[in-house]
Amino acid sequence: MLMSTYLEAAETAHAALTRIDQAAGDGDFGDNLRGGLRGVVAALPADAGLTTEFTVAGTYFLDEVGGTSGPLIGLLLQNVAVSLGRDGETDAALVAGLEAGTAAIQRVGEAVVGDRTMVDTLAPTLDDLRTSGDPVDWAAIAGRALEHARATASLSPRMGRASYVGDRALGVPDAGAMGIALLFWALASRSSSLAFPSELASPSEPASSSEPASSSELEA
Amino acid sequence: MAEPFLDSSSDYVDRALAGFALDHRDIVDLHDNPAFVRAKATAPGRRVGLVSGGGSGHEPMHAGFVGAGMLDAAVPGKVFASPHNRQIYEASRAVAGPDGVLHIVKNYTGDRINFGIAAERLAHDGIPVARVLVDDDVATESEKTATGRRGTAATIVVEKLLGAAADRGDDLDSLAKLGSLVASASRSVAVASLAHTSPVTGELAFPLPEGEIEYGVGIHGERAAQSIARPPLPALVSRMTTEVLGKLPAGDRAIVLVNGLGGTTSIELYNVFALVAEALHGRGVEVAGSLVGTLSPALDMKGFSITVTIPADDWIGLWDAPARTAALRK
Repeated sequence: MLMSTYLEAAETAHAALTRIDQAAGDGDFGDNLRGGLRGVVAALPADAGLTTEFTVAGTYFLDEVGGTSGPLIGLLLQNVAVSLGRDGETDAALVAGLEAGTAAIQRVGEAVVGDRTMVDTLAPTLDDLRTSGDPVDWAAIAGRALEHARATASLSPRMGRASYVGDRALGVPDAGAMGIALLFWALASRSSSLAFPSELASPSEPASSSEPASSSELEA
Repeated sequence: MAEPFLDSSSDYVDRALAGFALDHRDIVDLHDNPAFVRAKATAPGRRVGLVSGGGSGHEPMHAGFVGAGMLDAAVPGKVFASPHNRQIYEASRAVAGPDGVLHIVKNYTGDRINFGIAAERLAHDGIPVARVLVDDDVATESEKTATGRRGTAATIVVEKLLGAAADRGDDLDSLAKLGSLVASASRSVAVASLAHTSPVTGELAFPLPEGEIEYGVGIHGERAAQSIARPPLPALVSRMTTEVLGKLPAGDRAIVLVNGLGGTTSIELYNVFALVAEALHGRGVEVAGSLVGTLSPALDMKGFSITVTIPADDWIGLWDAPARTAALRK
Protein backbone atom coordinates (compact mmCIF):
# COMPACT_ATOMS: atom_id res chain seq x y z
CA MET A 1 0.00 0.00 0.00
CA LEU A 2 1.13 3.55 -0.73
CA MET A 3 0.74 4.77 2.85
CA SER A 4 2.73 1.79 4.22
CA THR A 5 5.54 2.70 1.84
CA TYR A 6 5.31 6.36 2.85
CA LEU A 7 5.42 5.27 6.51
CA GLU A 8 8.53 3.14 5.90
CA ALA A 9 10.15 6.18 4.34
CA ALA A 10 9.14 8.39 7.28
CA GLU A 11 10.51 5.81 9.75
CA THR A 12 13.83 5.63 7.90
CA ALA A 13 14.05 9.40 7.54
CA HIS A 14 12.79 10.27 11.03
CA ALA A 15 16.20 11.07 12.51
CA ALA A 16 17.32 13.13 9.53
CA LEU A 17 14.00 15.02 9.29
CA THR A 18 14.16 15.82 13.00
CA ARG A 19 17.74 17.02 12.65
CA ILE A 20 17.10 19.32 9.70
CA ASP A 21 13.94 20.68 11.28
CA GLN A 22 15.82 21.43 14.50
CA ALA A 23 18.27 23.49 12.46
CA ALA A 24 15.56 25.81 11.22
CA GLY A 25 12.19 25.11 12.85
CA ASP A 26 11.08 23.52 16.09
CA GLY A 27 12.19 19.99 15.34
CA ASP A 28 8.78 18.34 15.38
CA PHE A 29 8.32 17.59 11.69
CA GLY A 30 9.87 14.10 11.80
CA ASP A 31 7.66 13.18 14.74
CA ASN A 32 4.55 14.61 13.11
CA LEU A 33 5.04 12.91 9.75
CA ARG A 34 5.92 9.54 11.26
CA GLY A 35 3.23 9.75 13.94
CA GLY A 36 0.60 10.70 11.38
CA LEU A 37 1.51 7.91 8.99
CA ARG A 38 1.62 5.35 11.82
CA GLY A 39 -1.93 6.39 12.69
CA VAL A 40 -3.03 6.24 9.06
CA VAL A 41 -1.60 2.77 8.45
CA ALA A 42 -3.15 1.49 11.69
CA ALA A 43 -6.54 2.85 10.60
CA LEU A 44 -6.46 1.50 7.03
CA PRO A 45 -8.12 -1.80 6.14
CA ALA A 46 -5.73 -4.30 4.50
CA ASP A 47 -7.57 -4.17 1.16
CA ALA A 48 -7.83 -0.38 0.92
CA GLY A 49 -7.61 1.07 -2.59
CA LEU A 50 -5.78 4.28 -3.45
CA THR A 51 -8.86 6.48 -2.95
CA THR A 52 -9.51 5.05 0.52
CA GLU A 53 -5.85 5.44 1.39
CA PHE A 54 -5.89 9.14 0.57
CA THR A 55 -9.30 9.68 2.22
CA VAL A 56 -8.27 8.10 5.52
CA ALA A 57 -4.85 9.77 5.44
CA GLY A 58 -6.34 13.19 4.69
CA THR A 59 -8.77 13.08 7.59
CA TYR A 60 -6.14 11.69 9.96
CA PHE A 61 -3.58 14.40 9.17
CA LEU A 62 -6.26 17.11 9.38
CA ASP A 63 -7.70 15.90 12.68
CA GLU A 64 -4.87 14.35 14.62
CA VAL A 65 -1.47 15.62 13.53
CA GLY A 66 0.20 18.55 15.27
CA GLY A 67 2.25 21.38 13.93
CA THR A 68 1.09 23.55 11.08
CA SER A 69 2.54 21.31 8.39
CA GLY A 70 0.61 18.20 9.52
CA PRO A 71 -2.87 19.56 8.77
CA LEU A 72 -1.58 21.23 5.59
CA ILE A 73 -0.41 17.81 4.38
CA GLY A 74 -3.92 16.65 5.34
CA LEU A 75 -5.40 19.21 2.95
CA LEU A 76 -3.16 17.92 0.15
CA LEU A 77 -4.15 14.30 0.76
CA GLN A 78 -7.85 15.16 1.08
CA ASN A 79 -7.84 16.97 -2.26
CA VAL A 80 -6.16 13.98 -3.93
CA ALA A 81 -8.84 11.73 -2.41
CA VAL A 82 -11.62 13.94 -3.82
CA SER A 83 -10.05 13.91 -7.28
CA LEU A 84 -9.50 10.12 -7.31
CA GLY A 85 -13.04 9.54 -6.03
CA ARG A 86 -14.49 11.74 -8.75
CA ASP A 87 -12.37 10.83 -11.77
CA GLY A 88 -11.08 7.36 -10.99
CA GLU A 89 -7.69 6.11 -9.85
CA THR A 90 -5.67 7.38 -12.81
CA ASP A 91 -2.44 9.32 -13.05
CA ALA A 92 -4.38 12.26 -14.44
CA ALA A 93 -6.72 12.31 -11.43
CA LEU A 94 -3.77 11.97 -9.07
CA VAL A 95 -2.04 14.95 -10.66
CA ALA A 96 -5.26 16.99 -10.67
CA GLY A 97 -5.68 16.22 -6.96
CA LEU A 98 -2.12 17.27 -6.21
CA GLU A 99 -2.79 20.51 -8.11
CA ALA A 100 -5.96 21.21 -6.12
CA GLY A 101 -4.24 20.29 -2.87
CA THR A 102 -1.28 22.54 -3.57
CA ALA A 103 -3.66 25.40 -4.36
CA ALA A 104 -5.44 24.79 -1.03
CA ILE A 105 -2.14 24.75 0.87
CA GLN A 106 -1.14 28.02 -0.76
CA ARG A 107 -4.53 29.63 -0.05
CA VAL A 108 -4.38 28.66 3.59
CA GLY A 109 -0.68 28.90 4.32
CA GLU A 110 -0.17 31.99 2.17
CA ALA A 111 3.21 30.67 1.04
CA VAL A 112 4.55 31.25 -2.46
CA VAL A 113 7.42 29.56 -4.25
CA GLY A 114 10.69 30.61 -2.65
CA ASP A 115 9.38 30.92 0.92
CA ARG A 116 11.18 27.70 1.91
CA THR A 117 8.14 25.54 2.61
CA MET A 118 6.64 22.33 1.23
CA VAL A 119 5.30 24.46 -1.64
CA ASP A 120 8.90 24.59 -2.93
CA THR A 121 8.67 20.86 -3.61
CA LEU A 122 5.04 20.76 -4.73
CA ALA A 123 4.84 23.65 -7.19
CA PRO A 124 7.91 22.85 -9.36
CA THR A 125 7.17 19.12 -9.26
CA LEU A 126 3.68 19.89 -10.58
CA ASP A 127 5.34 21.82 -13.41
CA ASP A 128 7.38 18.68 -14.14
CA LEU A 129 4.22 16.55 -14.01
CA ARG A 130 2.47 18.75 -16.57
CA THR A 131 5.16 17.88 -19.12
CA SER A 132 5.63 14.28 -17.99
CA GLY A 133 2.90 12.77 -20.16
CA ASP A 134 0.43 10.04 -19.32
CA PRO A 135 1.22 7.60 -17.87
CA VAL A 136 3.54 9.52 -15.58
CA ASP A 137 7.17 8.47 -15.26
CA TRP A 138 6.97 8.45 -11.46
CA ALA A 139 10.61 7.47 -10.92
CA ALA A 140 11.76 10.53 -12.85
CA ILE A 141 9.23 12.71 -11.02
CA ALA A 142 10.42 11.44 -7.62
CA GLY A 143 13.97 12.37 -8.61
CA ARG A 144 12.88 15.85 -9.64
CA ALA A 145 10.89 16.30 -6.40
CA LEU A 146 13.98 15.41 -4.38
CA GLU A 147 16.06 17.93 -6.32
CA HIS A 148 13.46 20.64 -5.69
CA ALA A 149 13.36 19.79 -1.98
CA ARG A 150 17.15 19.86 -1.71
CA ALA A 151 17.20 23.28 -3.37
CA THR A 152 15.36 24.77 -0.35
CA ALA A 153 18.73 24.68 1.43
CA SER A 154 19.62 27.88 -0.39
CA LEU A 155 16.35 29.63 0.53
CA SER A 156 15.83 32.00 3.43
CA PRO A 157 12.66 31.26 5.41
CA ARG A 158 9.83 33.81 5.39
CA MET A 159 6.93 31.78 6.79
CA GLY A 160 6.35 29.83 9.94
CA ARG A 161 8.59 29.22 12.86
CA ALA A 162 11.66 28.97 10.64
CA SER A 163 11.30 32.67 9.81
CA TYR A 164 12.47 33.46 13.35
CA VAL A 165 15.97 32.08 12.66
CA GLY A 166 16.30 33.81 9.28
CA ASP A 167 19.48 33.12 7.37
CA ARG A 168 20.69 30.69 10.00
CA ALA A 169 18.53 28.11 8.20
CA LEU A 170 20.68 28.37 5.08
CA GLY A 171 22.58 25.25 4.09
CA VAL A 172 19.93 22.85 5.38
CA PRO A 173 16.83 21.94 3.35
CA ASP A 174 13.33 22.55 4.68
CA ALA A 175 11.97 19.50 6.50
CA GLY A 176 8.46 19.89 5.07
CA ALA A 177 9.83 20.11 1.54
CA MET A 178 11.81 16.91 2.12
CA GLY A 179 8.76 15.20 3.65
CA ILE A 180 6.79 15.92 0.47
CA ALA A 181 9.67 14.57 -1.65
CA LEU A 182 9.18 11.32 0.28
CA LEU A 183 5.52 11.23 -0.81
CA PHE A 184 6.68 11.30 -4.43
CA TRP A 185 9.29 8.65 -3.58
CA ALA A 186 6.48 6.47 -2.22
CA LEU A 187 4.32 7.10 -5.31
CA ALA A 188 7.23 6.03 -7.54
CA SER A 189 7.99 2.98 -5.41
CA ARG A 190 4.63 1.50 -6.43
CA SER A 191 6.09 0.63 -9.84
CA SER A 192 9.87 0.70 -9.54
CA SER A 193 12.56 0.01 -7.02
CA LEU A 194 14.15 3.32 -6.07
CA ALA A 195 17.20 4.08 -3.98
CA PHE A 196 16.31 5.90 -0.77
CA PRO A 197 17.56 9.51 -0.62
CA SER A 198 20.97 9.03 0.99
CA GLU A 199 20.95 12.11 3.21
CA LEU A 200 17.67 11.02 4.82
CA ALA A 201 18.82 7.49 5.68
CA SER A 202 20.48 7.99 9.05
CA PRO A 203 22.17 5.09 10.76
CA SER A 204 21.44 6.30 14.28
CA GLU A 205 18.18 7.41 15.81
CA PRO A 206 18.48 10.48 18.05
CA ALA A 207 16.14 11.16 20.90
CA SER A 208 12.73 12.26 19.75
CA SER A 209 12.16 15.99 19.79
CA SER A 210 10.39 17.34 22.83
CA GLU A 211 6.62 17.35 23.03
CA PRO A 212 5.13 18.16 19.62
CA ALA A 213 4.16 21.81 19.41
CA SER A 214 0.54 22.63 18.91
CA SER A 215 -0.04 24.43 15.69
CA SER A 216 -0.06 27.69 16.99
CA GLU A 217 2.39 28.74 19.25
CA LEU A 218 2.51 30.49 15.95
CA GLU A 219 -0.29 32.68 17.17
CA ALA A 220 1.87 35.18 19.02
CA MET B 1 7.57 36.28 41.94
CA ALA B 2 3.81 35.83 42.02
CA GLU B 3 3.02 32.24 41.28
CA PRO B 4 -0.42 31.79 39.67
CA PHE B 5 -3.07 29.77 41.49
CA LEU B 6 -2.95 27.00 38.92
CA ASP B 7 -2.25 23.32 39.35
CA SER B 8 0.47 22.90 36.77
CA SER B 9 0.08 19.11 36.91
CA SER B 10 -3.41 19.47 35.39
CA ASP B 11 -4.71 20.78 32.12
CA TYR B 12 -5.77 24.06 33.65
CA VAL B 13 -7.11 25.45 30.37
CA ASP B 14 -9.60 22.60 30.07
CA ARG B 15 -10.49 22.88 33.74
CA ALA B 16 -11.12 26.62 33.41
CA LEU B 17 -13.33 25.91 30.43
CA ALA B 18 -15.32 23.37 32.43
CA GLY B 19 -15.68 25.89 35.28
CA PHE B 20 -16.76 28.62 32.87
CA ALA B 21 -19.38 26.40 31.23
CA LEU B 22 -20.73 25.32 34.62
CA ASP B 23 -20.96 28.92 35.86
CA HIS B 24 -22.77 30.00 32.70
CA ARG B 25 -24.78 26.85 32.13
CA ASP B 26 -27.86 28.92 31.36
CA ILE B 27 -26.07 30.50 28.37
CA VAL B 28 -23.57 27.99 26.95
CA ASP B 29 -22.91 24.31 26.41
CA LEU B 30 -19.39 22.90 26.47
CA HIS B 31 -18.51 20.44 23.72
CA ASP B 32 -15.76 17.99 24.55
CA ASN B 33 -13.26 16.44 22.12
CA PRO B 34 -12.79 18.69 20.37
CA ALA B 35 -13.32 21.51 22.84
CA PHE B 36 -15.60 24.38 21.95
CA VAL B 37 -18.23 26.50 23.67
CA ARG B 38 -21.61 26.79 22.02
CA ALA B 39 -24.57 29.12 22.65
CA LYS B 40 -27.68 27.48 24.08
CA ALA B 41 -29.95 30.00 22.34
CA THR B 42 -29.80 31.86 19.08
CA ALA B 43 -32.22 34.24 17.38
CA PRO B 44 -34.74 32.43 15.15
CA GLY B 45 -33.99 34.76 12.23
CA ARG B 46 -30.23 34.13 12.28
CA ARG B 47 -29.12 32.54 8.98
CA VAL B 48 -25.36 32.48 9.56
CA GLY B 49 -23.44 30.92 12.46
CA LEU B 50 -20.79 33.20 13.99
CA VAL B 51 -17.62 31.49 15.20
CA SER B 52 -14.52 33.03 16.74
CA GLY B 53 -11.62 31.72 18.74
CA GLY B 54 -7.99 32.03 19.61
CA GLY B 55 -5.49 31.35 22.33
CA SER B 56 -6.46 31.11 25.98
CA GLY B 57 -5.24 33.66 28.54
CA HIS B 58 -7.48 36.36 27.04
CA GLU B 59 -10.66 35.56 29.00
CA PRO B 60 -13.45 36.54 28.83
CA MET B 61 -12.62 36.69 25.08
CA HIS B 62 -13.92 34.65 23.27
CA ALA B 63 -16.11 32.22 25.23
CA GLY B 64 -17.46 35.10 27.35
CA PHE B 65 -19.04 36.56 24.22
CA VAL B 66 -20.92 33.41 23.22
CA GLY B 67 -24.67 33.68 23.60
CA ALA B 68 -27.78 35.29 22.19
CA GLY B 69 -26.91 38.40 20.19
CA MET B 70 -23.22 37.61 19.75
CA LEU B 71 -21.23 34.45 18.93
CA ASP B 72 -22.75 31.04 18.27
CA ALA B 73 -19.52 29.27 19.19
CA ALA B 74 -16.01 30.01 20.45
CA VAL B 75 -12.98 27.79 20.07
CA PRO B 76 -10.18 28.08 22.64
CA GLY B 77 -6.57 27.07 22.10
CA LYS B 78 -4.00 26.53 24.81
CA VAL B 79 -2.51 29.61 26.50
CA PHE B 80 -1.52 32.09 23.77
CA ALA B 81 -1.79 29.30 21.14
CA SER B 82 -4.19 29.00 18.24
CA PRO B 83 -6.97 26.40 18.36
CA HIS B 84 -6.61 23.24 16.27
CA ASN B 85 -8.41 23.25 12.91
CA ARG B 86 -10.55 20.31 14.03
CA GLN B 87 -12.04 22.37 16.88
CA ILE B 88 -12.88 25.18 14.46
CA TYR B 89 -14.21 22.76 11.84
CA GLU B 90 -16.50 20.87 14.20
CA ALA B 91 -17.71 23.99 16.03
CA SER B 92 -18.52 25.53 12.64
CA ARG B 93 -20.42 22.44 11.51
CA ALA B 94 -22.35 22.44 14.76
CA VAL B 95 -23.58 26.04 14.47
CA ALA B 96 -23.69 26.65 10.71
CA GLY B 97 -26.95 28.26 9.62
CA PRO B 98 -28.77 27.91 6.29
CA ASP B 99 -26.38 30.56 4.88
CA GLY B 100 -23.32 28.94 6.37
CA VAL B 101 -20.80 30.18 8.88
CA LEU B 102 -18.69 33.30 9.39
CA HIS B 103 -15.27 33.10 11.05
CA ILE B 104 -14.11 36.13 13.04
CA VAL B 105 -10.33 35.79 13.14
CA LYS B 106 -7.68 37.88 14.87
CA ASN B 107 -4.70 38.50 12.65
CA TYR B 108 -2.07 36.00 13.82
CA THR B 109 -0.32 33.50 11.57
CA GLY B 110 -1.46 30.43 13.51
CA ASP B 111 -5.07 31.58 13.71
CA ARG B 112 -5.13 32.45 10.02
CA ILE B 113 -3.81 29.04 9.05
CA ASN B 114 -6.00 27.00 11.37
CA PHE B 115 -9.21 28.88 10.55
CA GLY B 116 -8.15 28.64 6.90
CA ILE B 117 -7.76 24.86 7.05
CA ALA B 118 -11.16 24.58 8.76
CA ALA B 119 -12.68 26.78 6.03
CA GLU B 120 -11.27 24.47 3.32
CA ARG B 121 -12.84 21.49 5.10
CA LEU B 122 -16.20 23.24 5.41
CA ALA B 123 -16.13 24.14 1.71
CA HIS B 124 -15.33 20.47 1.00
CA ASP B 125 -18.53 19.61 2.90
CA GLY B 126 -20.55 22.16 0.92
CA ILE B 127 -20.98 24.60 3.84
CA PRO B 128 -20.57 28.25 2.77
CA VAL B 129 -17.93 29.99 4.84
CA ALA B 130 -16.45 33.48 4.93
CA ARG B 131 -13.91 35.22 7.11
CA VAL B 132 -13.59 38.59 8.81
CA LEU B 133 -10.02 39.40 9.76
CA VAL B 134 -9.53 41.78 12.69
CA ASP B 135 -6.25 43.75 12.66
CA ASP B 136 -6.68 46.77 14.91
CA ASP B 137 -3.36 47.19 16.75
CA VAL B 138 -1.68 50.36 15.45
CA ALA B 139 1.58 49.49 17.24
CA THR B 140 2.28 46.80 14.66
CA GLU B 141 1.39 48.90 11.64
CA SER B 142 4.88 50.00 10.64
CA GLU B 143 6.65 46.68 11.10
CA LYS B 144 8.51 45.69 7.98
CA THR B 145 6.92 42.28 7.80
CA ALA B 146 4.21 40.66 5.76
CA THR B 147 2.21 39.79 8.87
CA GLY B 148 0.43 43.14 9.25
CA ARG B 149 -1.29 44.59 12.30
CA ARG B 150 -2.17 42.26 15.18
CA GLY B 151 -5.80 41.65 16.09
CA THR B 152 -6.77 42.63 19.63
CA ALA B 153 -9.79 44.00 21.52
CA ALA B 154 -11.61 45.41 18.48
CA THR B 155 -12.62 41.78 17.91
CA ILE B 156 -15.26 42.34 20.59
CA VAL B 157 -16.77 45.29 18.70
CA VAL B 158 -16.86 43.17 15.55
CA GLU B 159 -18.51 40.29 17.42
CA LYS B 160 -21.17 42.56 18.93
CA LEU B 161 -22.09 44.40 15.73
CA LEU B 162 -22.08 41.25 13.59
CA GLY B 163 -24.12 39.39 16.22
CA ALA B 164 -26.85 42.01 16.01
CA ALA B 165 -26.69 42.07 12.21
CA ALA B 166 -26.90 38.27 12.09
CA ASP B 167 -29.96 38.40 14.35
CA ARG B 168 -31.78 40.67 11.90
CA GLY B 169 -31.22 38.02 9.23
CA ASP B 170 -28.26 39.37 7.24
CA ASP B 171 -26.80 36.83 4.82
CA LEU B 172 -23.20 35.64 4.72
CA ASP B 173 -21.94 38.16 2.15
CA SER B 174 -23.55 41.11 3.96
CA LEU B 175 -22.06 40.02 7.28
CA ALA B 176 -18.60 39.54 5.80
CA LYS B 177 -18.76 43.00 4.22
CA LEU B 178 -20.01 44.63 7.42
CA GLY B 179 -17.32 42.85 9.46
CA SER B 180 -14.64 44.10 7.13
CA LEU B 181 -16.00 47.66 7.41
CA VAL B 182 -16.11 47.49 11.22
CA ALA B 183 -12.57 46.09 11.36
CA SER B 184 -11.25 48.87 9.15
CA ALA B 185 -13.07 51.51 11.24
CA SER B 186 -11.52 50.18 14.50
CA ARG B 187 -8.03 50.75 15.91
CA SER B 188 -6.37 50.02 19.27
CA VAL B 189 -3.18 50.64 21.18
CA ALA B 190 -2.01 49.13 24.47
CA VAL B 191 0.47 49.97 27.22
CA ALA B 192 1.82 47.98 30.16
CA SER B 193 3.79 48.77 33.29
CA LEU B 194 4.39 45.14 34.28
CA ALA B 195 4.65 41.96 32.20
CA HIS B 196 2.36 38.98 32.74
CA THR B 197 3.39 36.09 34.97
CA SER B 198 4.31 32.94 33.10
CA PRO B 199 1.96 30.16 34.22
CA VAL B 200 4.81 27.73 33.65
CA THR B 201 7.68 29.39 35.53
CA GLY B 202 5.84 31.82 37.82
CA GLU B 203 8.27 34.51 36.64
CA LEU B 204 7.50 37.79 34.87
CA ALA B 205 7.65 37.36 31.09
CA PHE B 206 10.02 40.31 30.71
CA PRO B 207 11.68 42.91 32.95
CA LEU B 208 10.80 46.59 32.78
CA PRO B 209 12.96 49.29 34.38
CA GLU B 210 11.46 51.49 37.10
CA GLY B 211 9.67 54.49 35.62
CA GLU B 212 9.25 53.00 32.14
CA ILE B 213 6.25 51.52 30.38
CA GLU B 214 5.90 49.39 27.28
CA TYR B 215 4.08 51.42 24.62
CA GLY B 216 2.36 49.34 21.95
CA VAL B 217 2.42 46.03 23.81
CA GLY B 218 0.59 42.95 22.44
CA ILE B 219 -1.67 40.46 24.20
CA HIS B 220 0.70 37.48 24.18
CA GLY B 221 3.33 38.78 26.54
CA GLU B 222 5.54 39.90 23.69
CA ARG B 223 7.34 43.15 24.35
CA ALA B 224 6.40 46.38 22.62
CA ALA B 225 8.60 47.89 19.95
CA GLN B 226 9.39 50.72 22.37
CA SER B 227 9.71 51.43 26.08
CA ILE B 228 9.03 55.03 27.07
CA ALA B 229 9.47 57.10 30.22
CA ARG B 230 6.15 56.91 32.02
CA PRO B 231 4.13 60.10 31.47
CA PRO B 232 1.35 61.24 33.81
CA LEU B 233 -1.88 59.33 33.05
CA PRO B 234 -3.75 62.21 31.34
CA ALA B 235 -0.83 62.80 29.00
CA LEU B 236 -0.47 59.07 28.30
CA VAL B 237 -4.18 58.61 27.53
CA SER B 238 -4.21 61.72 25.38
CA ARG B 239 -1.22 60.44 23.39
CA MET B 240 -2.83 57.01 22.90
CA THR B 241 -6.21 58.47 21.90
CA THR B 242 -4.57 60.85 19.45
CA GLU B 243 -2.55 58.05 17.88
CA VAL B 244 -5.61 55.79 17.46
CA LEU B 245 -7.81 58.59 16.08
CA GLY B 246 -5.07 59.46 13.61
CA LYS B 247 -5.45 56.04 12.00
CA LEU B 248 -9.23 56.28 11.66
CA PRO B 249 -11.64 57.97 9.27
CA ALA B 250 -13.08 61.26 10.54
CA GLY B 251 -16.31 61.09 12.53
CA ASP B 252 -18.12 62.80 15.36
CA ARG B 253 -19.12 59.69 17.31
CA ALA B 254 -17.13 56.75 18.66
CA ILE B 255 -17.61 53.33 20.19
CA VAL B 256 -14.89 53.06 22.84
CA LEU B 257 -13.46 50.00 24.56
CA VAL B 258 -11.14 50.41 27.52
CA ASN B 259 -9.69 47.00 28.16
CA GLY B 260 -7.67 45.85 31.15
CA LEU B 261 -4.76 43.55 30.33
CA GLY B 262 -5.37 41.41 33.41
CA GLY B 263 -3.68 43.14 36.33
CA THR B 264 -5.44 46.48 36.15
CA THR B 265 -8.20 47.52 38.57
CA SER B 266 -11.63 48.85 37.67
CA ILE B 267 -10.82 52.18 39.30
CA GLU B 268 -7.84 52.51 36.97
CA LEU B 269 -9.85 51.50 33.90
CA TYR B 270 -12.65 53.96 34.65
CA ASN B 271 -10.06 56.71 35.14
CA VAL B 272 -8.68 55.83 31.73
CA PHE B 273 -12.14 55.79 30.16
CA ALA B 274 -13.05 59.21 31.60
CA LEU B 275 -9.80 60.60 30.18
CA VAL B 276 -10.42 58.99 26.77
CA ALA B 277 -13.89 60.58 26.67
CA GLU B 278 -12.34 63.97 27.53
CA ALA B 279 -9.67 63.58 24.86
CA LEU B 280 -12.27 62.62 22.27
CA HIS B 281 -14.56 65.48 23.28
CA GLY B 282 -11.64 67.87 22.82
CA ARG B 283 -11.47 66.68 19.22
CA GLY B 284 -15.19 66.95 18.61
CA VAL B 285 -15.94 63.25 19.01
CA GLU B 286 -18.63 62.05 21.44
CA VAL B 287 -18.88 58.59 23.00
CA ALA B 288 -21.90 56.84 21.47
CA GLY B 289 -21.17 53.35 22.82
CA SER B 290 -18.69 51.98 25.34
CA LEU B 291 -17.43 48.96 27.21
CA VAL B 292 -14.97 49.13 30.11
CA GLY B 293 -13.41 46.18 31.86
CA THR B 294 -11.02 43.28 31.60
CA LEU B 295 -12.20 42.04 28.20
CA SER B 296 -9.14 40.75 26.35
CA PRO B 297 -6.24 40.49 28.78
CA ALA B 298 -2.79 38.97 28.46
CA LEU B 299 -3.09 36.76 31.55
CA ASP B 300 -2.23 39.14 34.46
CA MET B 301 -0.31 41.86 32.63
CA LYS B 302 -0.65 45.26 34.28
CA GLY B 303 -1.75 47.53 31.49
CA PHE B 304 -4.65 48.58 29.37
CA SER B 305 -5.67 49.11 25.78
CA ILE B 306 -7.86 51.74 24.16
CA THR B 307 -9.99 50.77 21.16
CA VAL B 308 -11.94 53.30 19.12
CA THR B 309 -14.46 52.46 16.40
CA ILE B 310 -15.85 55.24 14.22
CA PRO B 311 -19.36 53.94 13.52
CA ALA B 312 -21.49 54.25 10.41
CA ASP B 313 -25.03 55.53 11.00
CA ASP B 314 -26.72 52.23 11.78
CA TRP B 315 -23.95 50.68 13.88
CA ILE B 316 -25.03 52.32 17.14
CA GLY B 317 -28.34 50.48 16.86
CA LEU B 318 -26.43 47.24 16.40
CA TRP B 319 -24.19 48.05 19.37
CA ASP B 320 -27.25 48.70 21.57
CA ALA B 321 -29.19 45.62 20.39
CA PRO B 322 -29.92 42.93 22.99
CA ALA B 323 -27.18 40.47 23.92
CA ARG B 324 -26.99 37.87 26.63
CA THR B 325 -23.49 36.48 27.08
CA ALA B 326 -21.31 35.78 30.11
CA ALA B 327 -19.30 38.97 29.68
CA LEU B 328 -21.70 41.36 27.94
CA ARG B 329 -25.44 41.86 28.43
CA LYS B 330 -27.57 44.49 26.81
